[in-house]
Amino acid sequence: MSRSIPRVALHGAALAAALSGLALLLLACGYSPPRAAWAFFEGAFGDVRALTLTLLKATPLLWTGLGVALAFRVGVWNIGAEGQFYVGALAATWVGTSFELGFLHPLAAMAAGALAGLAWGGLAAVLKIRFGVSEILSTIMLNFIAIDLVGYVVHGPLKEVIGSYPRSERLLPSARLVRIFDGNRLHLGVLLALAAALLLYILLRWTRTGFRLRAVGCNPEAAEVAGISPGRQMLLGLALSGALAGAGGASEVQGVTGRLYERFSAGYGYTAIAVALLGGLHPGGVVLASLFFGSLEAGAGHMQRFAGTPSVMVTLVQGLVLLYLLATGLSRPVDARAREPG
Amino acid sequence: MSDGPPAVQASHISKRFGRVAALHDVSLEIEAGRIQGLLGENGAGKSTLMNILFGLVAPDAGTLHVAGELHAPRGPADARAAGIGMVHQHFMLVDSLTVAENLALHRIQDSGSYDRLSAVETARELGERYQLPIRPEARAGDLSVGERQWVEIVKALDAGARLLILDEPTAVLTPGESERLFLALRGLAEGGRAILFISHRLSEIFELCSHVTVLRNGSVQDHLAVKETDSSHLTRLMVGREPEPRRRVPALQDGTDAMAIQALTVARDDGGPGVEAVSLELRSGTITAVAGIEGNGQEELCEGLAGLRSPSSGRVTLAGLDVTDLSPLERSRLGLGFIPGDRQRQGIAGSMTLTENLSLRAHRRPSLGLGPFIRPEALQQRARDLMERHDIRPGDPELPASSLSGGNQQKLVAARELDEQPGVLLALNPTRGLDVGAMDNLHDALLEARSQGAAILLVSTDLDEVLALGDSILVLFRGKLSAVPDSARSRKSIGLMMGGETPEESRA
Repeated sequence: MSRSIPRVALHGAALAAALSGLALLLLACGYSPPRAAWAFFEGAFGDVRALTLTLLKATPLLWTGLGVALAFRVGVWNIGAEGQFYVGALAATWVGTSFELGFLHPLAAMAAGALAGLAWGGLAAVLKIRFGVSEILSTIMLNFIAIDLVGYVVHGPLKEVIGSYPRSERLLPSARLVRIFDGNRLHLGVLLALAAALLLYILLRWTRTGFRLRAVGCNPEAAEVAGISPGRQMLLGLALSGALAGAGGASEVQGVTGRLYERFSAGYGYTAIAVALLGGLHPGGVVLASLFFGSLEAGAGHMQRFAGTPSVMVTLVQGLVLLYLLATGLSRPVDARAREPG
Repeated sequence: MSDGPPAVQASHISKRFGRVAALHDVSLEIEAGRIQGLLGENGAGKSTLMNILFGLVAPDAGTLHVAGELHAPRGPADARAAGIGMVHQHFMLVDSLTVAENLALHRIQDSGSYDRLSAVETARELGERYQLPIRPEARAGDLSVGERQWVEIVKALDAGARLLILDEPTAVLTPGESERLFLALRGLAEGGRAILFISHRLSEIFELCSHVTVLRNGSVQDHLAVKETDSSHLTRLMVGREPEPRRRVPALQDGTDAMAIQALTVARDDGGPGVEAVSLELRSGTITAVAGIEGNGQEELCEGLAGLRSPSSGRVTLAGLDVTDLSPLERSRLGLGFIPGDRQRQGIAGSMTLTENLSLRAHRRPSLGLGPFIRPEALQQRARDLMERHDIRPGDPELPASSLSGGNQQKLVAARELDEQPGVLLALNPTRGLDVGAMDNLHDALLEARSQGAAILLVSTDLDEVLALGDSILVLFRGKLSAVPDSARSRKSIGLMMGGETPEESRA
């Protein structure tokens, strides 16, 4: 715990470095950094609408970021949050368009999304444990399968009946996640994601199961000697990780888009890796990191409109943050054995 | 013997790592034609001094002279050019190449060409010149540990070494191979080379060296001529206190069968045989000690029994139940404890706290939590108690385990296993790399567990430890166990068995 203070400082430094990198770049391209910054700030935090947008953009990143953080804490490299997000959205769409379940409908669709993600992650875990397939490869491959599966269903089985777009029917109103405030787009999924962060924190910090998950992440061999089965913990970790990402997909469909379409995710599952690492793989840190990345998304459009700065600049910031984290070795908390003496 | 300047002279060397003074004002002269011993416990600074001589570490203060000339190596290449050769504990040979090719490697770098026949010829000449029995056309991977060491030495000499540094070279050798090595080293010294022989075994210093330097806590305690000292004096210098002779206490009871192993065969990682058809009974209240050179199946035996490797055949019963197919957890619930051989890799989770490491087993106990939840303060209190009882320092339970010294890490692993009050305790090289004090602590802990009725299997490459603690002794050689008859219970005959001779021969 005593070492967490300099680490937080380092994460701050990585952020600051990325932002100054952006400022320099803007300057070099002939834009005014202060103006861009102000426009960005207005777009991300300036008023209720801006804050809402930041929160909405942060939510899918929070769900997937929590999933990635959990897997990494168990020492499993889940690169598949993207695919798990897709199958979660797919399952939620199916439940949300095909059944009429009354007041249980939002919950049922959400659960379907989480279950689909759980299965998608669990599949990679089984491949790893039973056949020794690297989860890095299998989760990436499963991403392609999930993305194309969604592409197929919105052209085929779940395609809207009227209209010619490759997209699903609208979710039944009963399946939508309710809005928190009248006249505001914030939906229940935002709160559920925050609750998930709290639950994940409790799991890792206060439960016997979480203790075992962490032990395997720190040193699977020592854990096994002490009677903790690495395989079982990795299965659990990867499945729960997938469930979080899958719930994220459901949350996005039920709370924001209301229907599924091709290329549904804006790369949330990949950005989630940067979110998880920037957040120090800690649930609280992931909340903050997802807000930061959410604000980047929210501010980018505004910056383009009012300072004329290309919005891709913020993608650059995301990349720079990740680079700085990699450079400072902050991305390796689960690779702690490399730091040990001897 | 020599009139000129010493082959190597280190003057007032100091080196700090952070707040720790690894070396403080260390001076050392190594004369040509002399075998100089360097004696000290682990952590005394032997390795740091060696790494400074070899250019791997730069000193904070002090100077080095080689044959009277100032020597400030910026890396091993400089040290080699100055005529300093090092034989590492972990050999640096390319397994898939032959001995001749390994020896030719550094010359290829110079000339850029390679001719197989001349390489074999050169290797043969080198072996003859230095009187080391190397086999030029054997693959390095097929060599025994002793043979690999010959090749390492030849390689260093061929690179022009005038000073040869050997870091604990006998740790991996049979007593017979050690003899052979000593013979070769004496020949090299007579030929005018200087040799720095690093060890923490007194007997070897007396057998081989003419002079010895004792290091403790980074400072030179004394430079002595071996003829003018004795082992209790050297031990006092090395440890800082008089060692207590350990008396062998006979086993308290002839206990019941705690674990029975029948015809157990466990494969190595590469598929080869690790242990083959091993049978053994462990009785409660006794220590069964297994001696053997590293790599003869020790790891496979212990990990097979602990449930970490599945045996290809055979049966293991624990407390009367067949546990052959049970998981490590199920075995530990039946009272099996394991102190693994590689504490960094298998014993501790370095980035977790001491509390967490001590809780790796105990976190399941109902008394330390509530339903699915743990009670961190209960775990911490228990950790505090254990750390006090087992003298684990420093005493802050929230420090990461990687911050502990090796000895304290081992105490931590032992404390965790013993606190489960195992009926059967497996210990693989439990005192490897520990200094005398920590070793004593661990031996006390094992004897304490024995007196409480534990059946202990002590598998160790340290023959002294086996002789000191074993109520009965076996030898593991190429995956086979053979019992040592009481009549053959001596360093010499067990040493022969460790090299593959049968007990009958060794008794004769």
